[in-house]
Amino acid sequence: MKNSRGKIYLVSIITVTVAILGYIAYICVHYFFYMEYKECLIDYAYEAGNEFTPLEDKNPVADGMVLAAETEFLKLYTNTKTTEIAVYDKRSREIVYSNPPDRAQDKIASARNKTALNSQLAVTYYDSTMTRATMYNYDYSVERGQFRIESLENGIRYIYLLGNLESPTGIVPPYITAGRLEEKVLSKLGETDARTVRNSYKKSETLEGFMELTSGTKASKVGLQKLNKLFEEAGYTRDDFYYDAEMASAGDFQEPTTFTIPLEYRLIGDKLQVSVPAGQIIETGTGKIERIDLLCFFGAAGMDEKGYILVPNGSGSLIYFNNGKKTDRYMQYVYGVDETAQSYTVVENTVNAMMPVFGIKRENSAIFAEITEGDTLAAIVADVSGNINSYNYVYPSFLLRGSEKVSVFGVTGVSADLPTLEKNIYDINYTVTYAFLEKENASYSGMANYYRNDLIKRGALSIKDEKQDSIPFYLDIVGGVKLQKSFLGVPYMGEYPMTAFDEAEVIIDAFLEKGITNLRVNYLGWFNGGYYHDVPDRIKVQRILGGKRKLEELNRKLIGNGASLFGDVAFQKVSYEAGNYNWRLESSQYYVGYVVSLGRVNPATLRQTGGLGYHETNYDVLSPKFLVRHTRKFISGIEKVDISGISLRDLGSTVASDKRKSNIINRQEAKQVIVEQLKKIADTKENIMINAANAYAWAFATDIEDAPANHNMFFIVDEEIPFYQMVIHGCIDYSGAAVNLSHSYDKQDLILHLVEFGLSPRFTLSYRNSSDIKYSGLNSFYSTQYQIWLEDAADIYHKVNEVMKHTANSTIIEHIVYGPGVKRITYDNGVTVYVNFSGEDAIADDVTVPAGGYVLKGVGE
Amino acid sequence: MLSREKLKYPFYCMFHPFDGFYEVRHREKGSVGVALLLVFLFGLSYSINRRFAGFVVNYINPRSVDSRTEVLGIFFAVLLLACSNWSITSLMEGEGRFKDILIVLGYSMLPMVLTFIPATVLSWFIAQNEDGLYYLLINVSVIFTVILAMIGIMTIHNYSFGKTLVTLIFSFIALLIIIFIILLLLYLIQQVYTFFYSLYTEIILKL
Repeated sequence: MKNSRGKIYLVSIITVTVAILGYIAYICVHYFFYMEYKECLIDYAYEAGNEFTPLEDKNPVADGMVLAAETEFLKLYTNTKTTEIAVYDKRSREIVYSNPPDRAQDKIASARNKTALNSQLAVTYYDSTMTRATMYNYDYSVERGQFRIESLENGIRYIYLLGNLESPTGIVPPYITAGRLEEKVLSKLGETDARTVRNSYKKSETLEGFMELTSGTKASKVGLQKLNKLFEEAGYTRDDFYYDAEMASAGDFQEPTTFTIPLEYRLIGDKLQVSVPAGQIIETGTGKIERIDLLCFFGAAGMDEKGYILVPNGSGSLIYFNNGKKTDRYMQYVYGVDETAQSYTVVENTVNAMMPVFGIKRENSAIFAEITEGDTLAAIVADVSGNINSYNYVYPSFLLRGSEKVSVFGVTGVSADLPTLEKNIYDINYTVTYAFLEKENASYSGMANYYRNDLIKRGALSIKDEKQDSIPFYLDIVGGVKLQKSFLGVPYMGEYPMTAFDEAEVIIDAFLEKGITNLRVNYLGWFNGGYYHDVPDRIKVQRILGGKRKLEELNRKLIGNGASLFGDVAFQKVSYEAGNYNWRLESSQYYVGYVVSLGRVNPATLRQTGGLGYHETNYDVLSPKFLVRHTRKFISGIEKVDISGISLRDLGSTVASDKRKSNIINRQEAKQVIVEQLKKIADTKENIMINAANAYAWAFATDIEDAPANHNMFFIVDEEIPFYQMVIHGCIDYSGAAVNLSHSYDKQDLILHLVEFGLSPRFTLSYRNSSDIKYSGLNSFYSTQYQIWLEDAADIYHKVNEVMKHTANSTIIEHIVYGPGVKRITYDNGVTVYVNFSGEDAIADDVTVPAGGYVLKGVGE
Repeated sequence: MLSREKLKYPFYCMFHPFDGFYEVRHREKGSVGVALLLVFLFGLSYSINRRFAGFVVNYINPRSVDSRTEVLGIFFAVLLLACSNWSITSLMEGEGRFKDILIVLGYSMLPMVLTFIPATVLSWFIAQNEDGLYYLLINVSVIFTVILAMIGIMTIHNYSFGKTLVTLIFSFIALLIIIFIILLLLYLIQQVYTFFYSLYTEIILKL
């Protein structure tokens, strides 16, 4: 009896132990040791440099500079004393300098800003007390002669050593042991020289066993100079100096903060490629680099020049030279601020910069720059003259190391923000390419054309091969919505069918009847529990909407009518209500281990951490590490559903790093993972719709919703231009925000805007009334009942289609602003559209454009 | 199983409180089970009232009502009241046992159990000016309950009316002290937790 009871205990203990161990093993294998994402990462090579010899130059154009590289179109010059460079364009005979040649005459710049004008790099770093400081490569490297130059294939490399290496005695050690002095110096010098050295040292009284530099020698400049020379001759190096200093100070000595940074210039066809291979950066001492501003004044324009700076502000905007807006510079992070680095407080509601590009247009030439590597970690900065110097300039600023302020509670219970830095520099080959445009292409239209052609050449964009005779109409249908219900007084999250699949057919029939056939239907909330769905690692079409059979029926009906159906899915922003998700382990984390979790911005507190009463709108950010698994499972699930397209709610617009301490994935790596996933998803279905697609996602999109339809009205910017649209028109169909949910509704203004930007109309509609979901997280869909909008939608569509059907397959080759609100858009098939937003008739090119109207030219003539 | 007699006894207490509660104390007529059942029923009818009462009289967002927390809250409140009363009366020569106090509190809730649901139903049919009817029902039952509880406490402890009042005031103070101590304890636990957590963060950061 006793024995058997003992056995039962034993068996149960063993079972429990095995179960626990099994679970731990599962967690480890499934989460901690899951490294599939590493297959998506891309490496880069570091080219070995040779000794630099200037090329022979038949007709030199740059004073004091030597030719470093040459291609068919360009010549790269460099000044080996100041390390500045210049690029000569053989086509336009224009020369562009890395630093303004007349900078010495600048009357505005202070001494420090003069140094900045002389520099190619500005390094922001944290010193030992975690204070941020800036070092310029001019005064901390060039002026001190601490740089090397190497020759590369078609280019050159400067290797700068930034830092203050000077000690009062040069490399002569104030204290050294007799043995080392003999071994390192005396034995290698001649008799007389050795005696000179020996006489400068005496036995130290303070440090036992050391020789000390006599005070007489220390005071004599000439003597020290001579000694330095002798030590150098003897082969005594700076490293030896540090070694002896450390020995003498018994470990108290601190190596000075220095940074060794390589900067490479290469000519590639008609482009100059500038890169900083961060893997080769060496830091000594306590300094930690945070960011590098690269070539801040490349092509900078002076106060007497005319032109503008192009910045990727939302749809794109121009900053005119010398516009006098000195109060605030332009600065925007490419692809928005990393979710993992965002502040909880959101003070402005802005459109992201979705393209990693910028440009400068001068009188006769233009430079168009694209950040090709390290784009996710870049911010684009622009400023006009008069603020800190007399130049108008734009440059990229790269983040090399993440930092975070961590709130730590002291013993007293008072919290303090402790700045923390990541251990390693991101190993990325930060690269910017500068293209030089000739006079006839020197405009933002030229830049857009150049960018488009370049992307097409690289395979990152392709001209639509299918010719359409009408523009698409984007119709978002609201399907299942999460709604709080209650059972016996106990609340739970239920689902509410705003539009069932057969009701969607009714809506679609209504639109077909109105003559709108090129429908692109994006079904929201069609699977896994509605709009705020469970993670898509398996797919269950909503039963309450009619199930998979009805969905496929709808899909066939749409295809039969020449339309297409997209299933909306979110990958990276995982709702609090999502099932199948281990939020603690699968989400991106901050440095200390908190999970990155955001929500809607509270208009009163400006914090984006709450859900405003609907916690399904709160979301965790999925780590790129696990994104790979989610997409793999999603793909195997979606292959079994007969639906013609997939709409990606956040995969093309969100790039978030993961800072979990054991496994940091930086934002560039996150982007590489995301691009790889986009590639895989694009292979599964014919049509891919991407919401607010960043430039890297264009390669995979057939349709874009939420294309940036305006810029941010920052004080410094002057003109809004549809740069984003100018690049992708004719390659990808796109639309902006839903018309029925936009904050203003002036029909004519709206039509003009659609015509100017080439946007297709988009509506978000449902079969049932929006008031049914007013107590849900989707209460932002406040007016979606389709019958209310049917007439207006058809009217807007037909008016816009009347103009844009002629241009649906063409690219925009030119966009010109004639005056306030009067613009001309020219397409490559010869069609020209004039729009006039102003309240008065305008005359442009002998064409009278009515107030608030548009004129179409060049059709069938 | 609860006997039929015990189930019916609360009704007797409602109309004969002195006799009824006396027999609870001295002849074991009461039952803790029935008392708790009544507390539960009251919690339920209270929650139903909050969730379903007509909009004329109901100012509560029905989305925020969760019956689970409300029923548990009522239980907690009764327990707290009983504890504080017991802790005072046992010092002031009260004869009632803890279970008697529980029974008194539970049984005296019967009027509210009986009226809250009819009042809720009534609230669906009344207009703004007729809400007096609804409040009459609710208030009468609440006052009835308070009177029953007073008499019950008085009877089981064998107190005079004055002494009952005094002990009730003391009970109330004791109740505040109990809540205060609980909060203090929670706060301390939280402090210890944050201390260890920040220790952990700092170790993580320094590694």
